[in-house]
Parts: sequence; structure tokens; C-alpha cells
Amino acid sequence: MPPLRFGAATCAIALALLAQAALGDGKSGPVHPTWGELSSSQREALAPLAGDWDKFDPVRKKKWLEVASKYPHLSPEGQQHVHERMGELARMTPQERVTTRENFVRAYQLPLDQRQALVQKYQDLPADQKKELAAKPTVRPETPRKPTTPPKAPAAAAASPKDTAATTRH
Amino acid sequence: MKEVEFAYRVRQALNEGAGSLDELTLQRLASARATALARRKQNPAAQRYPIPSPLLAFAGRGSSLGLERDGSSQSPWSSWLFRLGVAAPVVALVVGFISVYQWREAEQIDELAAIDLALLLDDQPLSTYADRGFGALLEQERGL
Repeated sequence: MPPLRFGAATCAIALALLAQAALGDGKSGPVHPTWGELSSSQREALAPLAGDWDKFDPVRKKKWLEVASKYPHLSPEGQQHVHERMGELARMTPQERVTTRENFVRAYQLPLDQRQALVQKYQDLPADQKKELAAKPTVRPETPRKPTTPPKAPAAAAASPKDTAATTRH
Repeated sequence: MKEVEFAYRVRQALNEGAGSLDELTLQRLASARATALARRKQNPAAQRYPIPSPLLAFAGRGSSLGLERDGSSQSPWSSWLFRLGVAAPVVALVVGFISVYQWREAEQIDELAAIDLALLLDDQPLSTYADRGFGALLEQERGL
């Protein structure tokens, strides 16, 4: 085989491997696992997402499956609370989710009482002041989507005084 | 001029030496020359890959060092060992890259899942966190 053809073949194989790693299995059609392929405990944990699950991309599915793996370790109150908010989070636009996580991670670094007070202060602001604040250029965290110290799920119990029983094992 | 004279003397010495060679040696040299000339005419492609002079010693005997039995030289790409030597590092690099990519992706998914679970367990309204104005207020308060 001439060197050029051999080099081209090697590059093609390398690119195919990279594409497969980056894009999953590369097959068109439903992204696995579909809702029907989930275990009963996963379906129970992700029940609010049932209608939208099959539209999720692979990374999003993996993320929610990771959440589902911790769901059984929450208290019944914690599970209910998670279910109440899960649909709302999933229905946000990707940009809204990014902003939500950024703001949450930064707010989470404050003591609980300060965080609650700040949220209350913001909610009490008139609409025009909220718009004015929203128009300000925000200082983004250094690693917006990958905070170096993400809040750990177990600490979430402390963040929810009424959910003191909400705990996770990890 | 001395160089020309020296070259002349060298030629003379060689001619005299050639004259003293025995019959068998002369016969073998003549035969080898005729064979080499014939092969050169039959296989002009061989001229594209000049044979290193040490390899000429093996002419006619065949050699695995890039020289086939008919005396023509080959590109190193025709050797499977050579191709493997080139392809293996490329494949190793790609496999390593994929492993790092998948490991980073798994790490990011774990981080996102931890943040989302904490967010879901939090008491404050999601709509507040989703508001850019809240982020600005947060920066403002932290800057004080």
C-alpha cells in the first residue's frame, strides 16, 4: 500500500474512532436508554421527566441517571421535593439552566441565612430594578459549567431546613 | 597539476592490478557486470531508489533489507512491520485521547448531577436562580 493511502486509511480510522467517542454510537434514531429501557427504580426517580426523556441527548440522560442513582437514598420528603422541582428544571432552556447553576453555585458559598436573605431581597425588588440588574454585565465564574467545588448533594439537606431528613449516602 | 598526475598514477596502478588478476576473478567480475547491466535495463524503476553502496555487495544474492531477489529496491511502506510501527503510535494516541475525553465527560456529568441534585433539594425558587438579575445582585452583595 502506498504511504499516502496508508496514511489516509490510518487517519480515517482515527477520525472514525474520535467521532464515535464524541457523538456516541453514531446511529440515528432514539438515544438509549429510552424511557422503556429504564429500570423501575429509575423510572420512579425520574417520573416527572417521563414525557420528555426520549428527547434528551445522551449527556443529559447520563446526568439524570446519576441523579436517579442517588434518589433512593433521599428521605420521602426529599424525594417529593425533588420531584416537585425536577420538571421545572428540565423544562428550562439550556441557557437558563446554565445561569441557574452558576447563580446557585455562587449563592451556595454564602451561609444559609445570608442566602435566604439575599433571595428574599431580590424577590422584594420592584420589577424595573430586577430588569436593571439583569441588564448589568455579570462577572462569570472562572469555570461556569464546571465549578471546582460543586455543592455536594449531602449538604443539600442543610440547605433545606424543612428537609432535614433528606440525605444521600455519597 | 599534481592532482592530475596523482589521478593518472592511480589509474595506471589499477590497470596494472587488473592485468594481474587471475582468470576466474576476471570471469566473475565480467559476469557480475553483465548481470547488473541487464537488470538495470529490465528494471528502470530501480533507479528511483538508489541502492546504498554497502548493499551492492549482496547484489545477486537477494536480501531482505529492502532489496528483493530481483535486485529492485522497495519503499519501506511495503513492510508490514514498518506500517505497524507507524500505525501503532497513532492508534495509541487516539485511544488515549478517547479515554481522556470519556473520563472528563464522566467527571463533568458527575459534577452536573451533584449540582442539580443540590439545586433540586434547595428551598429557594428555581426561577430566582434562573434570573440574571439575581446573579448581578449576588455579585453586588459579594463585592460590598
